[in-house]
Amino acid sequence: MSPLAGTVEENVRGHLAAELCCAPDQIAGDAQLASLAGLDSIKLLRVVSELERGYDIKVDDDKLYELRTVADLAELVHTEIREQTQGQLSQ
Amino acid sequence: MATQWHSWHGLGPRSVAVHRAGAVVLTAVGAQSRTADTLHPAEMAVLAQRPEARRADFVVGRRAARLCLRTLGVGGPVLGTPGGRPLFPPLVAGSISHSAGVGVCAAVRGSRYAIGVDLEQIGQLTLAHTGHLCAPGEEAWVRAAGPGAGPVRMTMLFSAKEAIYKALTAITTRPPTFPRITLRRRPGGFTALIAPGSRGWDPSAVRVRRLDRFVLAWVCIGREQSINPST
Repeated sequence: MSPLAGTVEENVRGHLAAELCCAPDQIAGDAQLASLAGLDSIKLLRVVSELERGYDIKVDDDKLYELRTVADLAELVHTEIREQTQGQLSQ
Repeated sequence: MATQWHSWHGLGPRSVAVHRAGAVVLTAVGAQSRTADTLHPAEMAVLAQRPEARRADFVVGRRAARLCLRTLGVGGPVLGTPGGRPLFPPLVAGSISHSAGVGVCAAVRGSRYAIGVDLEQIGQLTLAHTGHLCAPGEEAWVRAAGPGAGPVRMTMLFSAKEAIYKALTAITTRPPTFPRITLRRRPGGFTALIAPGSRGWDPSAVRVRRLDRFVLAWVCIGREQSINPST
């Protein structure tokens, strides 16, 4: 799966679904990460690493530990994409 | 009920195992095991509040905790904090982890301790995941192991840091991120060093043990020795 094939929200849900062996539509955007069956720290780390590779971004560790919901993760990816794009444009 | 490490090998859904490491008691309970350790009525009430998808993990973890408390000679339920962490009875420090249908618990009597335990299956992490895990020097240690043992070392690092993180959440609201925890090898595990200026914890010994397809890590930190008053 290429994370660039859809929206950030779709790709976040897609990667979580692939990790948890379920359908993406079973993962609601407002779902608490702690409520997703089978999601633990190690799987979340794998999902974030996949998103980083797909979008060529680096997520700040401190922000990673503050994530609560699926939407938080999507917003974090959005923010990192935006900040790193602005950084490249200003160079 | 076996009390030696050999009973922990072949850890799986039917396992029941106990180990004493000094004052710390470690227990493992598989989801299909037969033990007398059922949930306390107050734990059943907490269970009802949990998302359905998380209930099996909750049950196996609490059963491991019941066995651990029974071994320590302590009664009472293990409730939950608003943040979802286990809340052990007064004067007991404890921690719970679960993986692949196995729950583990580590607990110790006394109010001066913070404890963390973690159980992970080997093979979930590769060198592609070092960015959010490794402190300087640790990636080289993983790479030096080669493709066969590298994933084992990755899991050892992760599990050790997860155990430290869980122990520190009982002491501080903001534990250090994994890359700020530097692990130095020592017999039976690692010594943890927290990056200067980040959170300021003293070195702590984290024990790590490979159990076939799993890695088990635990750490017991004395509160007084852990808090650096200069930070």
